[in-house]
Amino acid sequence: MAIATLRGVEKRYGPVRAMDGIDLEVPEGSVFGLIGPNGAGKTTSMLVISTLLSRDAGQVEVVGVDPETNPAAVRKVLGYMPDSFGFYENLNASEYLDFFAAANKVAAAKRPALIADLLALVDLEQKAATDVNTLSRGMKQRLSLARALIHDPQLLVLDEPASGLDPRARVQLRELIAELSRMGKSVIISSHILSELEGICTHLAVIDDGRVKAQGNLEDIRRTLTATRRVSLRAPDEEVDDVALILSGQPEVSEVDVERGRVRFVLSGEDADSARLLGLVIASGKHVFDWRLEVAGLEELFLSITAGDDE
Amino acid sequence: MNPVLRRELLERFRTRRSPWFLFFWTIGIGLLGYVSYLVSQQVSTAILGRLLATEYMGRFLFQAMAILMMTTVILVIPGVTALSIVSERERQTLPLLQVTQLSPLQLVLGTLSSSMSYFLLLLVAVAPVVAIPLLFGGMSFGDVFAALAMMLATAIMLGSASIAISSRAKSSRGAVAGSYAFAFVIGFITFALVLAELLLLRPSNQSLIPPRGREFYSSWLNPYVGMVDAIRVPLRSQTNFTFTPFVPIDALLYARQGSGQGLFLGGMPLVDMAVAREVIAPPVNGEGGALIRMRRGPVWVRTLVLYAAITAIALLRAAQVVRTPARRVLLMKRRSSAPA
Repeated sequence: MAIATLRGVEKRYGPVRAMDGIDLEVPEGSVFGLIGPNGAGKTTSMLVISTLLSRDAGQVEVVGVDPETNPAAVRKVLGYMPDSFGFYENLNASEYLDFFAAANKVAAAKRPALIADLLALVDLEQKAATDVNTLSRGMKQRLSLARALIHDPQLLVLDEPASGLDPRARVQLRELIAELSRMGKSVIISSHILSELEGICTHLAVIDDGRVKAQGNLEDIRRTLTATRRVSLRAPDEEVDDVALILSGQPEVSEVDVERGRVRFVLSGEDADSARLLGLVIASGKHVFDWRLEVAGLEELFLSITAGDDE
Repeated sequence: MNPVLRRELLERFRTRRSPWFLFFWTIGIGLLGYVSYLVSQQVSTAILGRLLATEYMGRFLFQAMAILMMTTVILVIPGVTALSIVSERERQTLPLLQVTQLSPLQLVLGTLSSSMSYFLLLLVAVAPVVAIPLLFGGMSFGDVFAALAMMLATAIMLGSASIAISSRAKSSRGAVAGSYAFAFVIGFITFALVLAELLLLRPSNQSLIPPRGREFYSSWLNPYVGMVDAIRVPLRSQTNFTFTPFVPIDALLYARQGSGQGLFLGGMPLVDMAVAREVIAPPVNGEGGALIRMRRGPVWVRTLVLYAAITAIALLRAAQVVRTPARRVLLMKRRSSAPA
């Protein structure tokens, strides 16, 4: 079941088409990554979902409600974290969260315990009385995430949450998002730094030039895009050339390359074809130490999805 | 309590600027009160003699303080409220507020009430100074109440207008400039408009102020005129001229009712008795002069109605700007259902 759906959504800023018929389906309970270069339309899509921007055309549903006709209903179940911090002067972390709890109509009696829990979740319980402006960037991001969680939303929309963070803070943030996913939250997260999303997302949409180029389960996208996959195997030095020769004669195999005891080739086929080739090599009396289907990383996926766009 | 109000109060009173401003404000009003006292003492001794001085001094002091405080409202309120929405936008907290469950109007009213509470604190801080004229006599609690009520109405109207300007402004500088320009027009340019009305829009009989008086529409917007009218009405005939700070506005009010013709141009608000005899009503309680027949309704009522309208329009406009997403669905639906 989808927690958010966009169908043919268009949004223009003057002559620029930020969203040019975007279709998205965010499954409930997923960590949905929006990837794309700067200016692709990721933030605009998130603003439309988060009730902050009206669309020019198309349909949007968040938890079954149109955010434009009933924004209040959407805001009850949505936590939004923009790519900027947005903090007030002279408020400490606890007061900052208390203000947003009050603004989200959380009962005054429940707030102290809730704020303590959230600060513990984002590992800031020691900073409750610290002026927000003196927190480090990573701490601010985590506090910002706690703010987005203050009314226990079902859906979190996180726009470039890891931008500008040091590696340690990025790892902490990733762990936090994984924890939220385990807690049953649906998360939409965007980034133009693809490695940030690697390992977090269960689903993915590649947006470029205001359009969705591919979307779905991460594995499905990989499979779709890598109809030709690279296989790498290691064999004894004296058998490497023979193994390469055996494989070269197979119709699914191309671009065979031998280098330092390794054979690399491009496989046009499914996992079953890979297994058949491995069996063939072993049946020929050759030894194989290692047989590996090289999995495409997000960067490779993105490049293959957006290949040719620059032309 | 509105969360925006609570947060703004916390923020405002934790800055170093607020206590210093409060300190200098109290000192400033105290000094101005003292200067007014000295001036009134000089004037009363010179014109009236010591026996009559006390009441006159009380009236003089009160009027001077009322005008000074109204001027302060005009100068302080835009500064206090102009940054409200634009600063949320600049520090990128506006979207965070817009996705909360606060309605746009709650957001705007929270900001306005924060500014008003600060203004009320400023008023309370100088209350002892403002109360001094009561000790001298010559004015009543009703006069003080009327003056404060008009100041509050002016503060709310200017604050609302500043918030509306702030919600549309692209920068803090623009918001401050726009808010002060509006306050300046309301507080001071309206006097020039009254003068222009007096000279340029003559009634058919060609005299500047006909015996039956004439309306000065621009004065309805002026907070000083509204305040003086709220204190003065019902107008009484005056047989002795004494200079007080309200004199220029008194002149306008008398001329409006048709009892100051001729003398208005001389700068004295004496009743033209030839006209006044026709319109004089029986004296009330034997106090002061006789009541002057009001040919035109009180200015302060018109002022309050106009201010209420400006306030409502400004707040709704600000809420409309702050509301997200912008309401285009209806337009879209209308467009799609329109015949090709």
